[in-house]
Amino acid sequence: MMWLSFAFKNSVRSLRRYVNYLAACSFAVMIFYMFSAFVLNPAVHHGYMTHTAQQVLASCQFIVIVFAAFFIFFFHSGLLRLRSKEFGLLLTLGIIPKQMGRWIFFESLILGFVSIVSGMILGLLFSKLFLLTMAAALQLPHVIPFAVPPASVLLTAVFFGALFLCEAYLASRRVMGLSPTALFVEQRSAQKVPRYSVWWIVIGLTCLGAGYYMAVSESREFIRDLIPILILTSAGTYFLYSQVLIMILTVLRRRALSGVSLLVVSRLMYRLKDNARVLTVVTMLTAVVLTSMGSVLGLQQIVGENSLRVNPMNVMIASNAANSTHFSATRLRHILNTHGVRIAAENTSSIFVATLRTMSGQWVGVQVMSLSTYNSLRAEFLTDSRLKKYIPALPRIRTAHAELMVPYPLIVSKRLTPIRAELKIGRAVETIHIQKQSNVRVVDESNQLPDFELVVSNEDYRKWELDIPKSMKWTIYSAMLSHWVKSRSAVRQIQDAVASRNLAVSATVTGFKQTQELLSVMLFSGFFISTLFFLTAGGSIYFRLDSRLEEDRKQFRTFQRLGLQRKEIGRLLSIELLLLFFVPVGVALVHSTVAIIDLGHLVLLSAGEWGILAIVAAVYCILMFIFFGVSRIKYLQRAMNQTMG
Amino acid sequence: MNVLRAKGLTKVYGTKNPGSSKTALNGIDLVVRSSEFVGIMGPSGSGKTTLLNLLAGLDQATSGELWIQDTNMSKCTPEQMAVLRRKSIGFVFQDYNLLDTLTLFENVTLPLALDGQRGKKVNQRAEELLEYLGLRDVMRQYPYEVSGGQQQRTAVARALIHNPALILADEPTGNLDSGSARSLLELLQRLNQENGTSILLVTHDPFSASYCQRIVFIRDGSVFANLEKADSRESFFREILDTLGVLEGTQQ
Repeated sequence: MMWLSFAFKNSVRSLRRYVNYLAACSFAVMIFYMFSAFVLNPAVHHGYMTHTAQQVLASCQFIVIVFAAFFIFFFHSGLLRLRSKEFGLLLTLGIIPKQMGRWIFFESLILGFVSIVSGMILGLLFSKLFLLTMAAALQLPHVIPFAVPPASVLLTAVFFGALFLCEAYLASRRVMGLSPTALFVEQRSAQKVPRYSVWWIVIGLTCLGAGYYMAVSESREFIRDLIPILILTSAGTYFLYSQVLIMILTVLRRRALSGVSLLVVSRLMYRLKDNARVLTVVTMLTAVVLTSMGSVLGLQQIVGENSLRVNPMNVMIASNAANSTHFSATRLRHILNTHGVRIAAENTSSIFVATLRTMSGQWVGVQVMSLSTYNSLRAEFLTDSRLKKYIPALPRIRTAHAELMVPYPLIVSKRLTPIRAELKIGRAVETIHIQKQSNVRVVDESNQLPDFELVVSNEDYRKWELDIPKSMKWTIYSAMLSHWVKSRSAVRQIQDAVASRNLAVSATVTGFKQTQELLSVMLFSGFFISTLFFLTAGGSIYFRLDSRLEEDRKQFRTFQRLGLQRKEIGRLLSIELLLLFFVPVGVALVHSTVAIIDLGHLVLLSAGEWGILAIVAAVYCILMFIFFGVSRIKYLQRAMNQTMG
Repeated sequence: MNVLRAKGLTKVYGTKNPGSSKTALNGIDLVVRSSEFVGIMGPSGSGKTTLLNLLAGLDQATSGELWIQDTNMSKCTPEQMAVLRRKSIGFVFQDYNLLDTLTLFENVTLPLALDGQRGKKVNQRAEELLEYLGLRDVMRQYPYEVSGGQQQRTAVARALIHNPALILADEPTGNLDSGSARSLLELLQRLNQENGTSILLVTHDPFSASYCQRIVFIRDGSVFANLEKADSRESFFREILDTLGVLEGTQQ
């Protein structure tokens, strides 16, 4: 038997240990390939998807590759550590470190190669399914044709090839550094007693506090603040595990504890200190999963309502008075009818455009409308009950007074104008008293009309209307539909019908579909990445447990000699593992809550998403519990098996 | 001719920090002549394991000289040490240390494979050896499929396959029942008497030690006594017990 053939045999027969690793690597390759094949699919590439959605997918691809790197390195080095005894034996028998390095290098490369091939094959097999799901998620009108973009194949092979090459090199360096004493180092050097220092506790809590404060305090620099917040929170989390919890446990130990709890507390101190880094990574991964899934799902819940707030008129057609072409409402009703969409309420309102002087002295455009126009529009809007809380009832407005509407989501708290504001109508400048500024949009968003509304008294409106040029007057036709979500095709036809004319058309459903498509893409890729993160989180804890199995075997044997029953050892292990698996989830939940408050500033979410976060957290906990259950059962079996012998 | 010669072998742990340094071996002199069966005995903590690790080139001595045949171990690079181990030393451990992923036959040929040897000659040699050790029928099986005694005999075969100058055996009977232990010790004795294999046996068990020709007792890192077998194994066994009594009696 030649040396290499021995190495090969050995590798092949220890494959059982590598099955999980291979599966995980193939999974990473598969996801990357599917993302890439979707983004580079000719049909997708040339349409079907908004630019933003494509960007989201591309950045997800980037996350997958960065993450796969971390994952592969960590996983493989854990496996190699498990084999240190075997390496020690071979070194004792006289294998030259260089020989072993070469062997592990090729073994890693072969594992990588197998992962790439199997991952791509799986990716090809599931691509069709992926395309179908994507098409459904994006609610595309056509089926995306199946394609194997050569660029994707190349990209996947090159990226992962390079990754596995680096990994193989590092792995071989690692085993070459081993000494033959690894065989005997079961009696690993005695661990130091975990200690805490008040200084580190203070620093850790300060980091956490600062991170949280930065997140919760309102700031418009979301992206700029993100990195420092992440760094502060990660550091704080690390100190939480390595210092704060150690302190708590030390204090607990001073009290007289009964049997099993004493063992739990003392063992947990070592476990925490030992695994502080892994627990930090697990916490951050979990927090990312909870936050992203929670907020995307939360956004999806309120996307309908938000679309209504941006475009409250389900269908709007605005025509300028200077424009000779006129849109007939009858034609519009006819189109809606043929698509089976019923009109719940409609209105034809007239407004004119003026300019208002802001605090900073600039002139901005406003739509001026009379109070009675506003009231009839409000009556129309209230046919959709969701709008009730957003469209306020206005009090009587006297002459030279006005209500200002500054729509969501541009400016929230700041006043746009002084209380006594100058309004320029045509050539004349009037001074008006702004009674109140509200965060509301009344007329749909349109690039031909200004964003702000000024509601004035009926008398003022009639008076001012007389003196302005035709080009500043607009007639707005608006309709509320009984099921606007289903009005997409009708709206398309309306848009086609008015495309040639000089009219502004807008519909709630258009913005809704765009946002929904984006969210679906985010949700879909988020789901994959979350799965990846979740598997890593659970897997890393499991791996860390594995590395202490030998010591635990010895300890459990001692426990048994001292008269502890298997059941009691089982309970000890249950409590310990439960804490190890779920303390990170608990901490992550707090992080996510803060993160969602922060995100709320960015997208002005309302409170609806907390329920969603709770559901996401519950699902995560259930999955984690399965991980915990399996680990607990397997670990006890493996730790106790040799105890009996 | 000497297979192994150690002079003033000293090992101090924690030399970087003089306050907590601990002397495990304190100037050990030891010689193993060709075809000799030598035992090393001592209570736990006496430095047996440290000595064995030094002799096997698994650890570096703090001071002193160590020669295996004509090679000065203290001047070897780790790579040369590895080559020396696979050419000149055979190991038998307490917990067998066979590779679970290889059959008994493959485990036995492993040292030759590491050395790049292959072909009919290798297979023939392994088969002869396994036959000699009574393992021919099970040689295609895996370690976990055979008994502890068979596993340990496989380990002996692996230690012998490359005709090493010296076999280092560390408590080889520690995990065996008394029947298997006895037959393993008889096997080692037969190898020594029939084939002239030099063996260094580290043990704390007087019965195992009684199979040796000469015992070196160590205590607190130094050689405490030397005992030669003059007569039958039984009387040697009693002498060993007496010496151990003195060794442990003086401890108090």
